[in-house]
Amino acid sequence: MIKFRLYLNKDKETEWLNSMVRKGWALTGFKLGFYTFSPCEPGEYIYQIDFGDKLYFASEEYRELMSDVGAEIVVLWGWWIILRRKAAEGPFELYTDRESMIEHYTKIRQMLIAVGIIETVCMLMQVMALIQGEMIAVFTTVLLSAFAVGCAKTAYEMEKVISRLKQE
Amino acid sequence: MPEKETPLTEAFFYILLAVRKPNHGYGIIQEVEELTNGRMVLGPGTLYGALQTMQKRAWIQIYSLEKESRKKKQYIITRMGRHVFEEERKRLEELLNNANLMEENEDDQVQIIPE
Repeated sequence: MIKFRLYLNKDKETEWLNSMVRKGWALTGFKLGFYTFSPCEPGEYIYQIDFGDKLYFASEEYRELMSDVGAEIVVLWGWWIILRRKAAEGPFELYTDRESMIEHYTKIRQMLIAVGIIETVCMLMQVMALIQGEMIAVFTTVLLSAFAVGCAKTAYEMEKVISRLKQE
Repeated sequence: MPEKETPLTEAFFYILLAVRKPNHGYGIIQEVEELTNGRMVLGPGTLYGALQTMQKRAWIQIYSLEKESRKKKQYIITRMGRHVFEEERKRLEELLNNANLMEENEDDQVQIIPE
């Protein structure tokens, strides 16, 4: 089964993936918003999403550690690493202290801000093209604006998570 | 990554302790769990981030006798790591010694009289 979704907030995405597992669908692949699912036992896995240091890359050390704790890398997409572990092995959390959670969400927030700025610059270039009469640019302007707003909104959500963690 | 290098976070403290002898990632998780009687189970994300940070700071290094690529990666504390740990230990000792002061005046506690 394939579903199309656009998530920028990884916490909401994780929640959705785990709700799919409860219905008996396990994520097996992802490309450009298209999530591929295969049937599984309801509640068989716990999914978690990590944020890597490099694009489309997980180091040997990372892979070794994850496989040692019984986790499997399902998807490497951009900076995102989607992992799963059998629920029978107990609760599955990637980050277990405040300091590392703050670090994790800070990295995500910075990426969203950077991507948001790039999209805004591209969008302004499209607006220039539009002014010069290239009507096709309407489409890309709208698309880029929507993504930039999405990034800004999610960066703000990450900021709220970070300040909540700092107050704890 | 904690912004300041000391005080060490609990995770950093126990990870340094667990690599006083060569240890691999999963071994570190297990040892920390044992040392804290199950109170602290390091998540793999937390551990991986800490290992990366500590390698950058040269507190730990990859330990390998030979270039055996089949063998699991092990980590070992460096001289600098031991120094950082020792400084933290001094700080903790000071805290504990001073904490004993609390017992000295136990008899003349201020009585709070309810209104």
